Amino acid sequence: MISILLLTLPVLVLSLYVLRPALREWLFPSDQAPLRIDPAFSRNDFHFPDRFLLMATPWWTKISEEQRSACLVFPERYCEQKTVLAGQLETGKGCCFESEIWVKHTAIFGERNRMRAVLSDGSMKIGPFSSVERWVHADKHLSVATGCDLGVRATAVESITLEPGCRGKLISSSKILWNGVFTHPLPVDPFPNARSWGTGSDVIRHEGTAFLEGDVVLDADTHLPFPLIVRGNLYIREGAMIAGDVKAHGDLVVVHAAILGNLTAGGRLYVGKESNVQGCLRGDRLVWLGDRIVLGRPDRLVSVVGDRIELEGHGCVHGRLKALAGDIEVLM
Amino acid sequence: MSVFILTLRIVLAVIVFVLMLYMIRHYLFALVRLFLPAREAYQEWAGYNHLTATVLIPMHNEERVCRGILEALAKSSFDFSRLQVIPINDRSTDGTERILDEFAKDHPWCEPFHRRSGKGGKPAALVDVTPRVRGEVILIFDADYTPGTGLLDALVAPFGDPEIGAVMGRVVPQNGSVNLLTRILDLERAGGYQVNQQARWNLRLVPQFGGTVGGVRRLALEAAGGWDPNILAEDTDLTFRLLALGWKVAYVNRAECYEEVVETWEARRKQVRRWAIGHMQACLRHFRTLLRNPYLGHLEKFDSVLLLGIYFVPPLTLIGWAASALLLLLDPNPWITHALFLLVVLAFGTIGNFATFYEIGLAVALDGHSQRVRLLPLSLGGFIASLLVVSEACVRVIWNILLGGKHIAWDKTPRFRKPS
Repeated sequence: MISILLLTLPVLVLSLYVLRPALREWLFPSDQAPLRIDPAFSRNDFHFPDRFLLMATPWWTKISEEQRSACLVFPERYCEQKTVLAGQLETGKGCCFESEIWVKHTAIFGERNRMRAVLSDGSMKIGPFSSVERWVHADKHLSVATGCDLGVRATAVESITLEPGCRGKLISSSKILWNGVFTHPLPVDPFPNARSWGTGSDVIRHEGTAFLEGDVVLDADTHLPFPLIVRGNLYIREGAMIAGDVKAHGDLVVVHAAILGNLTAGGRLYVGKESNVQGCLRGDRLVWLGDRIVLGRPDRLVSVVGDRIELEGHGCVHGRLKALAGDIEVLM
Repeated sequence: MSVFILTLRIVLAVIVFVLMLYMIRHYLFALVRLFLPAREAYQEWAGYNHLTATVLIPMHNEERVCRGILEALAKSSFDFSRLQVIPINDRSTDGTERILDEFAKDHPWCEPFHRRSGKGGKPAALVDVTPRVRGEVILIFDADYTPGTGLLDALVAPFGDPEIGAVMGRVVPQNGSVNLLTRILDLERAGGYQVNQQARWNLRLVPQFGGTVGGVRRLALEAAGGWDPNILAEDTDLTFRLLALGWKVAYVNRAECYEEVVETWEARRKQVRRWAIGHMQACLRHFRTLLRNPYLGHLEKFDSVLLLGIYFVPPLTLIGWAASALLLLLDPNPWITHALFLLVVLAFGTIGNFATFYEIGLAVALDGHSQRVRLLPLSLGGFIASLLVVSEACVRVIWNILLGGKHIAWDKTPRFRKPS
């Protein structure tokens, strides 16, 4: 008896597998079956109307008439949780996409859309107050409107433009531009007990690396051709130029200066108005990037890392912004 | 007799105190790795730093393995326009030179350096090649290592901080499943790097530059006086010379590189002996300057002293056992002293660590290889063997000092990989 069972069981399983489409058709007649994405249909441009819900669902789920009228549903196994649209995509207001979307052309999302993850082979525009749960990537330009949440990662090959109120955890592109609101030049004043220091006025240790104790204010128009390490807070005044890496164990403030090296701060890092830094930045607590600053070059990308990153005014970063604990935020 | 017993008691008390310090240190490290998030060493900058790098690979009769490491480096994601690789053919008598020259024909970034005479050993070879180095960062690998694609970027990234003088990566045995010894060594490496080094970096203490799978800033190396060919543990020596000048050492746990651990007990004995002698030389050389170091905080100094003295623990333990045995025979009331010592030694062996038990168990758990933890009791064998070898090395060092610094020869670690 057991032998017969053992022999027939594989045959039974195989038969069920082969007959599965027919069984499904029998269980869910075509008038009740979920709508399928037709490959021919997906090759065309597609416009999702307002309040559209695109969701993936297991094939055995019964969909009510009310749901069918409100959303486009397709079987999960059919698309493997991924929607592929070969044409251009444009959505209306308040659309929600629960599957990953791959648009092989330009994608334009309307206001207050919600997406899980979006990949575009062309450019992409994300409407105001939209949100991405996981990641978004555009092979060309990514334009993000006011108040958007970019989720865990936002990347674009050519450029990313951020409007006020945008948030994200990691933003990476060869050119990141933001159009924030200009509030004030710098949120900190020079440290009250700091001593003034300029070229040649203090000890220079091994091979030209300057190593200073306590809080220091670097004089305006100072030119240093070597790296600088300060065991306290450091304020670099207007017109200074440092051809080397700079590190402060406390806070580090740079105002209208040119730094040809990396900036590292054990506390907060403020890079103020019209500064130009050709190196990577790291602030253990906060990185604040001010108005009209330029970080990196298209042929020399930089990485900016901080627990939180705040972007103010208009600025440009060639490279990557990464917030380790909080968010990257364009100030409103 | 009473004076002798009193002396023994004092010796025992000192040893017990030292062992307790180590126990607390390693227990603290384990707790840090268990409950605190790992601190990354500037890995967000990996691939964004634009420093130039030179990779040095000392090789002495390495025909079995030398092509492997060069081919692995050829697959690196590092920008080759900023990379110089110098395989140092150190007086090889086998086919190493021919293999290096053949490889260099097709790879312009590979510039073999053939060293045909001079003093033996890795530090001496590094001294000779230094004038050819062009990179701002010098990375060092042993010939039997297999660096991964992103390893160079990961190791160079921390040098973006101007205060970092040296960087250490993680060594992972690739022949860990060959025999019992390699399995035990695999466990020991996991404990040493995953828990010990990473915890020291997390706590902003002093990770040790290990001389391989690591790098040093050329500027810092020159300021510290370059490599010293007269010391066997040039890595430990360099770590403390850099610290004396205010540079820091960073540890990158994710910069993993595969190595070949020794497969015979004799090779292991020689390796441990060499490390122990070199480390003790470094300890004797740097102990006093370390205490006066103005760039280190109190905790950093304290940890550095314990790090420098780590190879004195095995002979101390043996002395403690001997003192304990003598007290047992001579002391009219020995049980309290003996029991106390035994308790501390056992506590050190179980919840503390001498690069074995507790940290190893935790490292295995953190690495997600929970089945390997079944080998943990066998580490006791490795511990006892190391105890004897290190104690012998200690006697050798003291003997050398008394006899006026006779040179201790470099023992090359044999390779076990079959030629490809």
